[in-house]
Amino acid sequence: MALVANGDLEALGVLFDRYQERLYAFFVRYTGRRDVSEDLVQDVFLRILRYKNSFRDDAPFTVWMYQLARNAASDRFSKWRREHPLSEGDHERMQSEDRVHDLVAEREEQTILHEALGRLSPDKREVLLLSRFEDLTYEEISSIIHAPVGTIKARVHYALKDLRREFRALTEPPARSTGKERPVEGRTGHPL
Amino acid sequence: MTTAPSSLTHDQARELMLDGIREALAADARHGLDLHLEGCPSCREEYEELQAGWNMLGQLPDVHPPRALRAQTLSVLSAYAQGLRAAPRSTALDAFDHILRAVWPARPVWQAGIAVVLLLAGIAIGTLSSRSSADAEEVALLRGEIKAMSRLFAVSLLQQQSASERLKGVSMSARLDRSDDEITSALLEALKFDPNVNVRLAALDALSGQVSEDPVRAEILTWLPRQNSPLVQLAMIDMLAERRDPPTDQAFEKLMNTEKLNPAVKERVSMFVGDVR
Repeated sequence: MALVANGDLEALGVLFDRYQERLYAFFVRYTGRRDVSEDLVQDVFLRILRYKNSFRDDAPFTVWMYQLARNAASDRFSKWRREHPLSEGDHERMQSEDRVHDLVAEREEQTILHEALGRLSPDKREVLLLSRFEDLTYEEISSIIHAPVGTIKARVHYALKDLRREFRALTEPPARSTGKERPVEGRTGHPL
Repeated sequence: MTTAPSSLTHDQARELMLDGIREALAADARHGLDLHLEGCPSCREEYEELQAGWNMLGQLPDVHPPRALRAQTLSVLSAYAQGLRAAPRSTALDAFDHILRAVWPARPVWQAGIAVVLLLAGIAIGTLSSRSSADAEEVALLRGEIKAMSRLFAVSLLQQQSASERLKGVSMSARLDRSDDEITSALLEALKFDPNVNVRLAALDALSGQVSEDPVRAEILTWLPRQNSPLVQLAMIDMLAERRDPPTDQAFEKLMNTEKLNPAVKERVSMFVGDVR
């Protein structure tokens, strides 16, 4: 990273080779969209180049990189919401359709799992993915999200329970309504 | 690693569950959790639910980025870095060289576009070399056509869906003739309406050489309060502050009094408003 800060593009290429796979996988799982994920990976590396002087080596590079990734996704999400001024229900339906279309080639169960993941709120989905796949400690995730470790743990805890609930709802035949079902907390659907 | 006493309350057990399924518990904590789960059906059920969710995520397939992503991204990064380093004005030959370097590794359709331009240039050179010097006018005409094609290419890149392609368009535009109204207009459009912050920032960088021109300056002043990105606003403020005039001071003052203005933007603009006062 020190070489990148000095304007060494080859060093940035080395960073790209080292992190593009996990970053791309994170975005695909987070957004459910491969095309969007490609743009977001590019965006993150542009931000690394642009904000190279703001990197401090007292924290792991991955923490800084995922902070940039989070901002990139957030900007993209904000833009998407501005360009699609629809009701919450419309957003959820359209986003859900996008995911299914993009992942239709995958096995059915995996598609349902993607769908269930996409039904979690973005807050829960991001901590769940960071915790499950990115080999980060809760303290590191806390630095990325700017929230206390206790909050992160609680969010992962409830995200896992919500994921199971959504997965079951998508795989099991609908039961007769009792009027007592509780909707998933904070459910806002897919961000993009 | 988390440690815990051997006898746990429900809350303590719940706190250890995530580390338990991540296999990040010390031996005594693991033992304490296991003891609690054995004697507490509700916690055991919750633990198994979490474990099942965790394992389920492991079924998600591996995903790999397309091979082209590396070349595309490095090309964009290279174009961006060159754009930052580029001199305000360069010769037509330098501009064409930069264009080729920025665009060559990208999509085949753009490679084909460059090939057409090169072919035209080759035909022109071949034809003209066999003619007398009286054909200078035709050479100038062909040069103009190549320049026009480069301009068209840059403008068309600015209209692409992909942010990276639009960034390339900005980078190319920055190397073309700054007096070209169409290019200036396209850069201003990108600055005002492009949804991607990086493209807007790059467009602003590309316009830096023209910020002293009244029409361009007026457009930037008009769009300063309408920008929704604090980063772009900060960059606009810094650029405008290099040459102060009454409209700029008025715009800064008005911006500073805007409600819900980003604190960083407010702090920056207040520095300049303070200068005036």
